Amino acid sequence: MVNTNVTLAGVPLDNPVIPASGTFGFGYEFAELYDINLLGSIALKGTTREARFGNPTPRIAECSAGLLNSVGLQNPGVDAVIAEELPKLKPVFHKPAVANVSGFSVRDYVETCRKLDAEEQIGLLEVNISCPNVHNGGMAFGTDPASAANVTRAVKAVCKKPVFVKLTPNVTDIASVAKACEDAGADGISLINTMLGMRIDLKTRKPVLANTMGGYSGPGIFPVALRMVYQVYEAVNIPIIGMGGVSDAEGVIEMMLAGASAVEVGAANLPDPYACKRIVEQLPEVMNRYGIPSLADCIGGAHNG
Amino acid sequence: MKQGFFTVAENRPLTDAVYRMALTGSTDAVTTPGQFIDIRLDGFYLRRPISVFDWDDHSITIVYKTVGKGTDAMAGLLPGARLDILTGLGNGYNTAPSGPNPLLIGGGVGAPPLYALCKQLLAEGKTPSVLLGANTASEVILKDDFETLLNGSDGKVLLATADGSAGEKGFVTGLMDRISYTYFYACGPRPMFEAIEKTAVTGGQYSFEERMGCGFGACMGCSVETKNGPKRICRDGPVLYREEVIW
Repeated sequence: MVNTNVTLAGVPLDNPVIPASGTFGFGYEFAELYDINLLGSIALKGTTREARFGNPTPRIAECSAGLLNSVGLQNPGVDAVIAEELPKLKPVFHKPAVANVSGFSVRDYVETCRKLDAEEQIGLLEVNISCPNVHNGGMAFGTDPASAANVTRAVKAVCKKPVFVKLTPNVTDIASVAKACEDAGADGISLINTMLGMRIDLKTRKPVLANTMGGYSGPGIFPVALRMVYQVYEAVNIPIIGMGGVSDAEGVIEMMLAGASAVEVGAANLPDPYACKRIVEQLPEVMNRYGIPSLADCIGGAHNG
Repeated sequence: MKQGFFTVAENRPLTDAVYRMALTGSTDAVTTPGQFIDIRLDGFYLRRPISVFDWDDHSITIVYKTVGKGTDAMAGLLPGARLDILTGLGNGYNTAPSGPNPLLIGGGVGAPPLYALCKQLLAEGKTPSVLLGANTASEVILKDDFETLLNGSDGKVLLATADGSAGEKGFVTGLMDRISYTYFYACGPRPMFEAIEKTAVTGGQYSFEERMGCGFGACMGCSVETKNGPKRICRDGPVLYREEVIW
């Protein structure tokens, strides 16, 4: 028997596999397909203080190894998430969920996090300072270590539950942003959000996405994400949720060897709604194949010393 | 929604760019005309959403247009090919408000999902009529199929082409006053919808198309604003009621 248990800042998970925010709705849609309690946790759809429609369509463009999205944080707003979405998740998911929060000001982040922190179904908060698809917010907080620290500090002041800060790869030195978040009190780091990209339609000679640019996710970004998890692991002493192009159990273990304590699976859920279930079920066999009795023991295993 | 494997039983061209593909497999998730399926293709990251033309207990037929590399790859599939397909996606048309004489309006490759709808309306004892629009005679599809379906009924099939090379010269909306209708169902390009919106004298339903990420409501990639709030074309649509659409 292999052991897939991991712990994220004191929150125990049966396994490290967590569907990533924005690719799994509020979770309950997938409960029609399989028992979602087999997942380690679920990162819920990014939530903001007010309801948002997001950007105009088209807001999806395919790439050879993934897709671009410019959804722009469509969500019903934190009050509706608490009143309508969490109650739909409750009967079908009995583990602590990850609330994913975005904002356009420090005050937005604080208000939204404060409300979600009080919800019994939420086990930890993931503060998204890395959305590439919104102006005057999102990624702007994640590209500057001082701004990232400000958001982290303000959110930590109002939350009792662990706060993970989700970082953007669209920076020159992700480790310095991670370190700034750690110094400001973050309980963990999530990385990476999508990489800024674009496609152009040869027929119209115009960008495919109505918003011109979007976030690239999928297997194509896996090596970049893995490298950044590795770098951040060297820079901080808090747990990491690794993500970016993971689509199989081998990818989960690779992320953990780079330094992740848990792993989010995002784009893979879109072409294959059973992706996370498949990965969870593959894990024991792949662990056996590579002689890994306990997943927790391989966290950071690729680092020297 | 259900994931399953299907075998290509037939895949033949109807015009230069439009193909008809029959797929055998489990169809119990398909419940309503106007729903779509989402096909995984080797070498492409995202699935291809295609409306259902017709289905029975063990097969689904689609009629699709080649518009890019993915649909080009579909056109090259031979009988016997196995495909991973999500079925039973989307809401489909609601036939309850149709009244006795619904009008089905199909523009170009928008016509296919109206076929299963037409069948259902006939089965419900109603008398549908069909308006088909195309750019030119060589692009007209499914006219014979609809005529066969409506054979023996009082329903009519009328055709318009933009260049007048077949049927009436002009657009389908020019034919709407030829038929006395109680409701309409439309599928086709957005400019056709906008013309219908100016012409139609009854309630109706429009079937929309949008670039999708997942096809089952998870990614919010295909949402549109409606008078009833944001709707995901893949899950809350693709069919929207006339009164809720924001033009």
